[in-house]
Amino acid sequence: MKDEACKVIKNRHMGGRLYLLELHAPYISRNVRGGQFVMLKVSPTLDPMGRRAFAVGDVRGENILIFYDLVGRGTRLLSQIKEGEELMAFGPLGKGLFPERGNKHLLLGGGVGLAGLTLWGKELRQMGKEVVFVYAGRSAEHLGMEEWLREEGFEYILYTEDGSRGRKGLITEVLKEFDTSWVVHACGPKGMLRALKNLKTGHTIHFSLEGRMACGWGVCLGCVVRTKEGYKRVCYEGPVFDSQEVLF
Amino acid sequence: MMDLSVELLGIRFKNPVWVASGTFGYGIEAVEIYDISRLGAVVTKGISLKPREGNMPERIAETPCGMLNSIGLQNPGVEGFLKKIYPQIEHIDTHFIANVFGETEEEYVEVCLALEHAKKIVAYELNVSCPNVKKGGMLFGHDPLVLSRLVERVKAKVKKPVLVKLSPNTGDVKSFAKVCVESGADGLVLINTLLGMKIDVWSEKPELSTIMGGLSGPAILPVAVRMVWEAFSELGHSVPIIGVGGIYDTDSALQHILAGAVCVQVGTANFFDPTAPLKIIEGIGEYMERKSIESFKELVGRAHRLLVKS
Repeated sequence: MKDEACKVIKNRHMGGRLYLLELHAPYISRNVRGGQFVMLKVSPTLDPMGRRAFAVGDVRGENILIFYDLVGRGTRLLSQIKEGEELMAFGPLGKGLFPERGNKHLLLGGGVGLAGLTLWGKELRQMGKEVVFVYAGRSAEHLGMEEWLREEGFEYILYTEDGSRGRKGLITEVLKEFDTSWVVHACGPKGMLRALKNLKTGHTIHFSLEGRMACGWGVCLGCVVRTKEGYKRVCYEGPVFDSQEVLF
Repeated sequence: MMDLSVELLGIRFKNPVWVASGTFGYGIEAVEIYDISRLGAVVTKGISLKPREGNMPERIAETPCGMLNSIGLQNPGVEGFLKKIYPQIEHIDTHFIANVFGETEEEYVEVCLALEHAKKIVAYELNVSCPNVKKGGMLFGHDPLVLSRLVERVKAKVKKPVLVKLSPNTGDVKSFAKVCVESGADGLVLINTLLGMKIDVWSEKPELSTIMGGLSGPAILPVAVRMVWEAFSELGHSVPIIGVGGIYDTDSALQHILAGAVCVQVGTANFFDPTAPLKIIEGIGEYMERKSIESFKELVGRAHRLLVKS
C-alpha cells in the first residue's frame, strides 16, 4: 500500500446524492482487488483532519473510479475538488476476501454500497462465473450507478422502495428467486445486512462492511465489528466478513 | 544526512522520532507501508495482564483538527503479545517500548516482569493516564501518592528503564512530573489525551459509546507544548522528557523539542498521514542543517535558553 498523490480526472454529480470521482492512481489501480478501499484526504488542511474511506468501484487503465454519496462535511469538501487538482489516496486497503468458490454469484448493493461490489463483480466475470447484480435505492433518483451496470453489460435487477423504478420493495425479497447454489455478496446499510442475515435462507452470504475509520490500516482500532471471535477490524481483517461470523 | 541519534535511558536511539502508543499497533501492520527500522522507536499499543476486549463502538469521533477515541485498551494481554506478536517484531532493527497498563499496582508489575526477558523491549512506558477505562489507567495518574507508590513498586521490581506517561487532565503537570522522578522514574512522557466529548445534535446523543473519550491530534499541540515546557522548567536536563501530543509535521515536532523534549512521539498523525514520522525525521535534519546545528541535543529545551538570555 502507498500514499499516492492522484490527479483528479473527473468529479461529477450523478443524480441524487451520488458522485463519481475518477483519479489517476497508477500504483493503486495496478494493485487493487475487488472489495478493497482507499482512504482519501478530502481537504489539504487539518480540519477535517481525518481521511474518508471509499471502495474502489472500478479500474480504467491507470485510473480508479470511486462512487460516493454526499452525506456530510467530508464528502461535501470532496465534491468541491475540481478536475485537474490533486488529492492523496492511501491504499489499496483491506483484505477484500470475497469467496471465489461456486459458479453463480449474486451481488446485492444497497444504494452506494453497490460500489463495494462492482470491481469484484468484474473479477468474478473474468473468472468465468455467472454474475447477477441487484441494486436497490429509495427511489429512481437513488439508482445513479445503473449506468455503470448497463455499460459494463451486467445482468441486473433494480429495486426501489417506492416503485419509481424497477421492482417495488426491498432488496432482501430477491433471495427467494435464487436457490442456495448462488453465493451472495452484499454491501449496503446496516439495516439491509441485518435483514439478510436474519432471513436464514441457507445461502452463503458475505458482507462488505463499513465502519468509522481513523486510519484504515489496522492501528486505531476504531472501526471494529463484533464477531463470534471478538472484535475484528473492518479495515484490516475485513471489510469482507462471512455473515455467520458477524454479530450485529 | 545529519546524525540525529540521541542517547537516553542508557540506550542509543537512531533518531528522536518515535511513534506513540495506540497509533501504531505493535508495528506489524506498518511494515506493509514502510521500513519501520527507520524510526527512533516504536511504543506499543497498551499491554495489560489479561486480554481486553475494548469498548463498544462507536469508539472514535472527529473533532476540529483532532479526534476523540475511546478504544478501551483492546489488546491480547501480555501472554498473547509474547506468543503471537513478539516473534514478528523481534528481528526489526529499532527499539520497542512497551506501553504497560494495569488495573492494580500488582498488574503493572506483572506485565513488566513478563516482558523482562523480551530483548526487543528496551523500556516500559507506564500508562497512568488512559481516560477510557473504568479501573486503573488515569486513576493512578491523578493522585500523587498513588502514582508515587506505583512507580516505586515497579522500579523496585524491574531492571529495564521505566517511563511514565502523564495525564494532561490533572491541571498540575509540574508536581506530578516531580513525584514520578522522586519515585525513581527514568523518564517522563507528556502528554496523553485530554478528556473530551462530542454530541451529535440530530440524534441528541453523545457520539462515543462511553460518552467521553480522549482528544488527540493537532488541536492539542499547544497544550502539550506548554506541559513539556513546564516539566522542563522544573526538571531541566535531569531526566529525559518525551514529548507527545499534536505532532504532525516538522514544525510541531520541533516545538516540543525546543520546549524540552529529547524525543518526540508521533501519534494521531499516523492515522491521517501514515508516513508523517519519516517526513519529520527528514525535516528535523534539514532544520539542523539550515541552522548549522551539529548535534541534535543542542536543540533540546533551546527555547528556554534563548528566553533567559533576552
